[in-house]
Amino acid sequence: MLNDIHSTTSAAPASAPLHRPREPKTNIAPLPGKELVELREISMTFTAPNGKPLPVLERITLDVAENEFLCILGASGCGKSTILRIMTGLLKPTVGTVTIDGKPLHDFNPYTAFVFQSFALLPWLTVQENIALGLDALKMPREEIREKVKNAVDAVGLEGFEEAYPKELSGGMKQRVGLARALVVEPKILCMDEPFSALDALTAENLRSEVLNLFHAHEGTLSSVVMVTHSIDEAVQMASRIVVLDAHPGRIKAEYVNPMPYPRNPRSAEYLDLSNRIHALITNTVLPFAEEPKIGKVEIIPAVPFQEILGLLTVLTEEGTMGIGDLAEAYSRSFHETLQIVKAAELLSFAETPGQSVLVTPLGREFVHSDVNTQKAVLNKQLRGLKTFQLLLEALAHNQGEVSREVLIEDYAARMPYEDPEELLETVIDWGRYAELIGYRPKEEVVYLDIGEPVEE
Amino acid sequence: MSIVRNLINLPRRVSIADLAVLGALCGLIYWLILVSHEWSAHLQPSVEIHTNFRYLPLYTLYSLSRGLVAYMISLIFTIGYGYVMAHSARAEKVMLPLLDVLQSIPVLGFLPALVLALIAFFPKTNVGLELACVLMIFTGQVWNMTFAFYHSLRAIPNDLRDASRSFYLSKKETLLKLELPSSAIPLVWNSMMSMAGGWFFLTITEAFTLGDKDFRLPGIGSYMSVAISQGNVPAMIGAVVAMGAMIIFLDRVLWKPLVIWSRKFRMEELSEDIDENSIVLNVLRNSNMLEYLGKKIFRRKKATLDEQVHIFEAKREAVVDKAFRSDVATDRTLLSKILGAVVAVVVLTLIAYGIFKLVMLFTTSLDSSDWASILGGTGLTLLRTTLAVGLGALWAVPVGAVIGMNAKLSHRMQPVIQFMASFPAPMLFPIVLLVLAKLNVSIEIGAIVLMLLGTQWYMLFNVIAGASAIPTDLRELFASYDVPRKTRWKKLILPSLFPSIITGAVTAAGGAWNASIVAEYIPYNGKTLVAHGLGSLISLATVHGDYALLGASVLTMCVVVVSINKSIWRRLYVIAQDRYALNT
Repeated sequence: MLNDIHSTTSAAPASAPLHRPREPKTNIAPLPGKELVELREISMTFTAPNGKPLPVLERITLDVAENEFLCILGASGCGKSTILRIMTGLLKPTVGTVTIDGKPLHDFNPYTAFVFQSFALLPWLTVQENIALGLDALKMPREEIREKVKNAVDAVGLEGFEEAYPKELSGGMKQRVGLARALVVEPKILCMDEPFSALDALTAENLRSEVLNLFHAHEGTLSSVVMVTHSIDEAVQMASRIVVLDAHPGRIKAEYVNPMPYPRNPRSAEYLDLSNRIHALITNTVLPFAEEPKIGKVEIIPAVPFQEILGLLTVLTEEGTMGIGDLAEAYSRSFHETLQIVKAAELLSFAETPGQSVLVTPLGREFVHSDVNTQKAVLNKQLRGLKTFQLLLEALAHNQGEVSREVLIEDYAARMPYEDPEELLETVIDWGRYAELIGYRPKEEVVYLDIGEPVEE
Repeated sequence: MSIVRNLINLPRRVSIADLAVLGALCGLIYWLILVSHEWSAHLQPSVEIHTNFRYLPLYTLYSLSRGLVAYMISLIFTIGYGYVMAHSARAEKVMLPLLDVLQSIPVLGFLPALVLALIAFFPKTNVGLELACVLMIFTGQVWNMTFAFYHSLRAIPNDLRDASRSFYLSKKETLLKLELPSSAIPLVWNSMMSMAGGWFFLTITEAFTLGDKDFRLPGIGSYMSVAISQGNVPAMIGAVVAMGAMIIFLDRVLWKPLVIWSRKFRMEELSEDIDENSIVLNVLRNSNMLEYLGKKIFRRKKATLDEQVHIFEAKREAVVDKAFRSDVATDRTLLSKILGAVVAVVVLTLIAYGIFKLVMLFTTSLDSSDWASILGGTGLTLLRTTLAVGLGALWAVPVGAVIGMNAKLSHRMQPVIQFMASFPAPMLFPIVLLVLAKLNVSIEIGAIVLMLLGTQWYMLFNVIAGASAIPTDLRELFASYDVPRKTRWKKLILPSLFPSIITGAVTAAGGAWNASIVAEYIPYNGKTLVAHGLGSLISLATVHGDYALLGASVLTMCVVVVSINKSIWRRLYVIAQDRYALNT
């Protein structure tokens, strides 16, 4: 979660590549050529744990052309990894077709190679054995394998580590092995699933520029890269085309062509403009209170511990109005997580979000400054205004002040199929306990109405 | 080293390690010849088991071979069953509960049926008897291995599976490069435990007689049984020593090298890296000869470059071809559906037929007094197993907690306890009986002690493991507040140990039910000691050839054990995992 929009200060994309000195200093974003892979009207439905169908992707139509760096951008859980897995043939879509050069795909895509977020290296194989995995499986002659692995090791800067085991390597080096393993099978398209999100900021920055170098150099037969990411900055920095996904179910919300020449300057007007536009688009998707009718509909409660909301209010009271991005940095949280906290505070009328900035409401300010008992009383009143808590109180009233966890989870699962019911209940209990509105006995797994009786042991 | 080398004037390339390996190979071949002789020998109406010490090494070797053959079968079964279960959701639905039942039923009750069936299959040679013995050991070894393998297959991260699929690994390559390595460590540890459990069944099966029919096999178990019935104390001690030697031998030559070797299959680097060495493993690693042989045997057939290129191109073409071929998937699912339906119908019919026959047998040949004795016996044996588990816990929990919380002590005690646990309890029965007779304790109560003998170790093992996992900071917290000892046990140690105690109790209870069959009915010193209970009922029915009573008793025991597991233990286990697990 380190590479979100406001972390660009440390970014130095122009830094000279470490392992390929022959690289030219700048690259014009290449013009995309003919389509390599075409996704037509792809829909994907999984089965939820409660047995109900859960649509993850809806009618995705997407092409990958020659010579392009495509980024699929979206919040976690929007199905972006699923698109990548469908493209590579690891998953079969419920509806729709994947075609390659006009031919429908039924097994693994022979044009693609996969790079995993978790690296997915076999711990008992050495670096070179890991890299040779795909070539071994294809029964390539030994001599040729040796040659190819050597080239790949050179290309990603792993010289000297050939005999090492993955557990001896740092995260960045592990991902280099992952890259080399994908490159040796000579794919036309490199498919990367959040390849840098498990790495620290500096390592990630370094690897990003190396991936761009590999892309520009057309290493082997490499023509295009498809990368899934949740970081706007990463997408704007690397992609020649950006597809933004909407969640629940995943749909293509917008598409941006990004013809800026490489290396890109994160302070240039063009760069800032594009990242602001994407930023605004995503912010509006996640904070849709203006459009959403509240009556009769159960609001979505973000899974945020109440302590974090309190933390946000304290920061806002001290700092005044802040941008969500600045907040994310101050919090050292991802943009998405920060949004969830802001959304929670707004739901309780403790904060407002005019435009893209956040400010604390008078109620919120008062809340921060009052003592614990007053806080509890205020929160109690605010929670009673939420549909979720009204339903819970009704249920408690009908059941002598006690409802089992099982019943509530079933109810939530039925009412809000896209939310994780257990997580939701956890949040409800957390907030409700803070307000002394409800209590929870884990031994009996029962939620009860808090009427101020002493806690029994 | 160099002196030895000069003395026997070895060429430079042959090392001492090579000599050791060569010696071991010769021994191995001689061993195979001996064992195949015994297997192909004519089936005798009664076998003479000599108590002369001269025979003991050979008998020990026979027993060892049976254990190892059974282990090989267990390993093959484990990989096959676990693999299918982990890869087919449909098969898993049937195979997983089946495995769960199989591992909890007292298999000893099925010994007579198994022996009779296999003798009928191989009426001329020893093969039938040997197979019965091996299969009995197998049933004592296999279940936890299969569970361990299945669980580690299921625990393989999705990304690793996706990686092996997307880089074109075939099913065989995935098994060899991903699935077997990731399950190597649990498989080795469970193999060790299984082998230990297997000796229990070995000693009983080798000495098996059915009424006046003698189904004994020459081995360490039958040697002991003869020594016991003759009251031959030196021979008894000899058998115990031989058994101990065999256990230590296996530990040094097989398990320790395997444990150290399997460390390379760890997923993550563990913080504590115990630096241990195995001489055997070092010898094997240093042997030039072995390396040479390995190269000769396992080298890829040397194809010419043209052939290699051809193979590669064909493979590559096949991959591309497969990517665009549509018809494969649909046909296979239809075929497998039909096949699955046929198998289901056949299995269900067989089960229905079996139940029908059994009910017929019970109604025609059992009367109400038989059922009354089964019911009463069940109560008595249930009482005994409960007491055995409880008594075991009484000493094993405090001792285990003290050992487990002291890292140095537990490291030192580990091999000792492991040895004690591997030692088959029935071999120690005569010594215990001797003491019990001196103390004038009736067998009705003495049987509890005999059950305890084998089952207490499960509790001890689990408690030690649990105690060593109690976080130091929690213990320091209690120490820093100077909490009284009683409160410390009540608030910290016992709650933290609860999950381990439950796991230990489940295993111990299962073992106790099995042990009841031999602990409640013991031929000893020319007499037979019988304690009333379901176990002795099974043994008596076996001796009298009363197959209806035998079947009913065994079935009752299975039902009781499985239902106790499902109702009481399973529930306690869930509570343990929910409330007392230390990783919150």
